[in-house]
Amino acid sequence: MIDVNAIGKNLREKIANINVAADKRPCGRILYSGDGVLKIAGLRDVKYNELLEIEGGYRALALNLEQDSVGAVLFEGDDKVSYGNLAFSTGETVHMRVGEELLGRVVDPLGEPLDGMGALTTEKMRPVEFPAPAIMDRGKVNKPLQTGILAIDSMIPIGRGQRELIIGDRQTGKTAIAVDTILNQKGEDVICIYVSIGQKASSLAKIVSTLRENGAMGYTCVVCSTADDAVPLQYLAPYSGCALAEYFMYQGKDVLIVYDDLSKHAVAYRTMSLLLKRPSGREAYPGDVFYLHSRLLERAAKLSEEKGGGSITALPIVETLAGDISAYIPTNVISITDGQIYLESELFNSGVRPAVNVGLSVSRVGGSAQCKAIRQISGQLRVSLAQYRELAIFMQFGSDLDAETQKTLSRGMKMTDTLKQRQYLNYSVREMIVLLLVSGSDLVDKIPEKKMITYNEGLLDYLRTNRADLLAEIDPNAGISEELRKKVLDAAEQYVNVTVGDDGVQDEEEHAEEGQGEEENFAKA
Amino acid sequence: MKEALNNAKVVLAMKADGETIDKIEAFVRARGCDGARYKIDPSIGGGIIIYIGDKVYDGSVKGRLASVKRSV
Repeated sequence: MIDVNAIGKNLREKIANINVAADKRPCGRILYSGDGVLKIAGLRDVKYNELLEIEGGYRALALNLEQDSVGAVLFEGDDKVSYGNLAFSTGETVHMRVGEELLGRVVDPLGEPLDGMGALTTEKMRPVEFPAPAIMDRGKVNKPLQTGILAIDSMIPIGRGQRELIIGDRQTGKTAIAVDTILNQKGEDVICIYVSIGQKASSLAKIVSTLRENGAMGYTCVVCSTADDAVPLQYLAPYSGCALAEYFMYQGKDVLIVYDDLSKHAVAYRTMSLLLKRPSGREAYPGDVFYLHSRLLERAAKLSEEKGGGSITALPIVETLAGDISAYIPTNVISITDGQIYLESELFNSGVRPAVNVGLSVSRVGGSAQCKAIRQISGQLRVSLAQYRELAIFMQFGSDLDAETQKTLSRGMKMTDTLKQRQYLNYSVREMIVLLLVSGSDLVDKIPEKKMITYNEGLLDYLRTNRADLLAEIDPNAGISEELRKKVLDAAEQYVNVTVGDDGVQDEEEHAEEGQGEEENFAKA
Repeated sequence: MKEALNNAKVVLAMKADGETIDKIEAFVRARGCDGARYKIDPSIGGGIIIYIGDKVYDGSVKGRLASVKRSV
């Protein structure tokens, strides 16, 4: 029951305390308005990055403080503000609405809901620009953030508090990796924030519905600025997302934040800078475009235990043109982040999905955070894949190959196939260990070359339904003992014998090949 | 623009009597203005708004209601 009297009393008290004397406010007048940029005379006390109020209820951001005018960018209403209108300073910088309430919601960079699910009631605010944690407040990255993607978790491991760049041409599956990673955080106690910067509204709607269908919105907030939003909103979006992430990090929680994508962010900032007549540099980007991204990504951190031990893991995405990673923005962001996942359209088109180029992708800090078991068995993976690729190029020149080479090639191909993975089909750590153990053993020689992917999926299904005890026995944080390895391989062999037996003609061919392989093994021995 | 900044702009809800005008003139001259331009705008509800250079002296009913709204 709502007590009307209490509310009335409360209101009366509040109103009684308000000073309604005529107030003196500094104001300015608009000298120029065009392309969303304002030049304002007056406003002597305004600060850099301060929020301005324009007559008619529009908001603007003060960015250029000059001798006799202030340059500002409008968040909305650029066709309604005109010469001579009044502008007021508000005395505060831009703030983002934060709080648990934002999880499951789609909001704009100022924290206003866009999903039609009602207003937000949280009163907590955080400044959009905030200094990164100090050196002494930081801890060591020591806990893995599982993406659920075998190629990444085995060879390019990501730790909580790391900044790992996802880079590649358009249509190579950059967003798919980020979305898969968010989906894989279900039940992992990681809060996810997806920041869209200048994206098409249609693709964003698709991502939101994917997250919703897979039950990921419960722990995810989408901060969105679409391609038709005012440029300043696109510019603010990543900082707002980061402010929300910091709110959770300083509470000791682990947060994953995806910036999709920073090349559009740089373009938005370039637009703003050029319109504000700031001097331009390489590729017409302003001089501080490096600082633009470094101050954002520096806010991703792992806090020390004394500071609560929270973390922000950042997955910035950068789009390259024709695979050129030596362009301005890609090189900048590569040098800021702790590693990159490099996606190639050539790989993507030849069916390797996720199209991760294992040679060019690195993770500079994730190795120490990787599960012990995976580290133990994936050590050789990168080397043998590199060897296979070298051999595969060589193979194109001649068809007469000795048995040993053929076997290496066949194994390499199966290894590559093992790393192929369908979208939204994430593996758990234990399943990854099984796949890695099998692909590194002699067992693969029994599996027909083109069947590797179906085999892997079948094997995991089989283990999940029939051998859950075996999966439970694998401890990702301990090493894999020889005994356990044998157990896993035995179970896998059982499955191979059942399935390969059904395969008819191909089966026979395969057996012939397999015989050869075994002979060699004997010869070697 | 120079002319606009040197003249105070005064908005009133209704026509004021001579005494009030004198008071206003004294107020704006004390703050370095050459004079005042007057505008009648009933939508401010009552009271007075004076613009001088880069400051607004808002004593209108509308402005006070807005400040009440902001703080509740």
